[in-house]
Amino acid sequence: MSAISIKNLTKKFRLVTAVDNLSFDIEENHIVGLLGPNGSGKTSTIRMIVGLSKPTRGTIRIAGTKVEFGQNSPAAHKIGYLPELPSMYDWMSGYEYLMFVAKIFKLSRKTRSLRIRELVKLVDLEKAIDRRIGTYSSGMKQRLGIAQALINDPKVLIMDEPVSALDPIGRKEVLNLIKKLKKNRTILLSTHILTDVDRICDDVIIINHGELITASPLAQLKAKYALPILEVEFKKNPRLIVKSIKASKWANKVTQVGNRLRIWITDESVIEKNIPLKFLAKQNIGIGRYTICSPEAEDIFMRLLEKD
Amino acid sequence: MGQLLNLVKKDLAEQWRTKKILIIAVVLMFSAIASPILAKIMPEILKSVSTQGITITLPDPSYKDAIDQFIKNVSQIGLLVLVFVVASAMTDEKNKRTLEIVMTKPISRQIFVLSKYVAYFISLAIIFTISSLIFYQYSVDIFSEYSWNNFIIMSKCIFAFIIMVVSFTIMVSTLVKNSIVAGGIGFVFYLLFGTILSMIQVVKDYSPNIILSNYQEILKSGYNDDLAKPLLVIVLVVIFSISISMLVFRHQEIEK
Repeated sequence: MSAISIKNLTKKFRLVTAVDNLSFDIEENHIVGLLGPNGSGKTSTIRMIVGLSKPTRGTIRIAGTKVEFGQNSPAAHKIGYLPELPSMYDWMSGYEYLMFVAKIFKLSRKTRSLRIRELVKLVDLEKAIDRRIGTYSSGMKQRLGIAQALINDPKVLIMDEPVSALDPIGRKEVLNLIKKLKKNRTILLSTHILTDVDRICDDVIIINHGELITASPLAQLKAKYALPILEVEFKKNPRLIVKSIKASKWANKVTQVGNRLRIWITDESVIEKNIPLKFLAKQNIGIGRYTICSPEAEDIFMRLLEKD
Repeated sequence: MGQLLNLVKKDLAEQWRTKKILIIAVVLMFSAIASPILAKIMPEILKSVSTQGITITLPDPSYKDAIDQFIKNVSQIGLLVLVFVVASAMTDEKNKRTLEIVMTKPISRQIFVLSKYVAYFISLAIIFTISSLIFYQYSVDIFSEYSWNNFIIMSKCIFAFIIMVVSFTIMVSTLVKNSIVAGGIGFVFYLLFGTILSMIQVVKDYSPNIILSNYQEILKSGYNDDLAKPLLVIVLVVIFSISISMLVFRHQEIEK
């Protein structure tokens, strides 16, 4: 059974179609990155999955249970949700908020205390748990947000841009935490930080203009789009040779940052034959570094969106 | 029932810690304490401001003047403050985006709205009861003894009027996103049901305003038949407001 199953999901806002006939299935115990440029429909999709927004058409099932908008849906027992900027009651302490949420799930008194203690330790908020939420930093709120999302030990955890509002340290902490949560749980996270996808996701779903571009394991996508990328650092500015590289048959795309060029190769065999290296050596501007890289999620994302 | 209790507890704690209820308590308590004193010293004040040649003669003040002051204070300043405090009941949850997490939990939307009503009814019942008791004790001490039973009936009627205005305002707070708009509409409703309806001949007998203007009759002879129609209107408005809130919120999208 799929952890999340979406069929023909559509969301229209008057004249705008935010999500257009979207269908995908997410397997159990996978971390899935929902990717797309700004305004692609990621947040609209997530808000329909968690029951905050009503689909214009289509169905959503969480571990086989249908999500019903506006009703006390049984699917809510299987979901944990972390919004982009989690807003909790500022006047409550972190402990009181977790207790409030635990009571909504009707956990027994003993389970409540145990679970809260466990989660507070997991998200490293032991020292601040009795402080008012209003005094928390963004990172602390994010961690408390994760704790509240896990209070019912959900099968599916849904996170909307979980690290986009955090500083690098906060981001690293939260990503490490998400990795820890992978055991026995499906995680769907929307993000536009593609290096994070590389670090933690098994699968990716890419959408654009509300439509599905691809839904596939990340490794499979990388294999499919595995044409290597050359990273060449020159001793002088290579501005003058960019045009000639672009004109050559073996280069698909060239980007320049300072003295460094990134060259997308059209065919893997040209590397075996050393064609690019020979070509670049002839240019007489001095090669400082010549590296062959594997494509990252970002490269795949860009290629797929370009195709779209 | 457990869900409702959890939410009501949360709402009561919120009212207390965000000092919302304190504002209402201060206004009502002030009315309870100040009204008998003002009624007592008003003739003295007027006498002292009498200019040469003009003498203002007023009858000796009685508990009736104190009640008159109390009802005016509660129904004017008290209700104005109350409407603008209560107006944030649902709009705050929307604007501060606290609904975003709570509404993804297994919680009935109808119960969530209902908890707002129940929490405010409980807080107001406590504050209004204490204020009324303080007022009664003060007015008896300053003036003379009067019917305790009839005073209780009168207080219950005024409380019913307050609950009607509060219910309508919470309903508007569910419908709109802005607290000031919700408060403004609540206040217009109060003006309509508190004064304007009583000026229209065909609906005059049903105007809840009768509750506020009929207090002398209530104090004299307790409950009377003139109160039945306005009380019925109040009950209908409260039921209507709660039902509409529940219905609308059930279909409302939680905006980002």
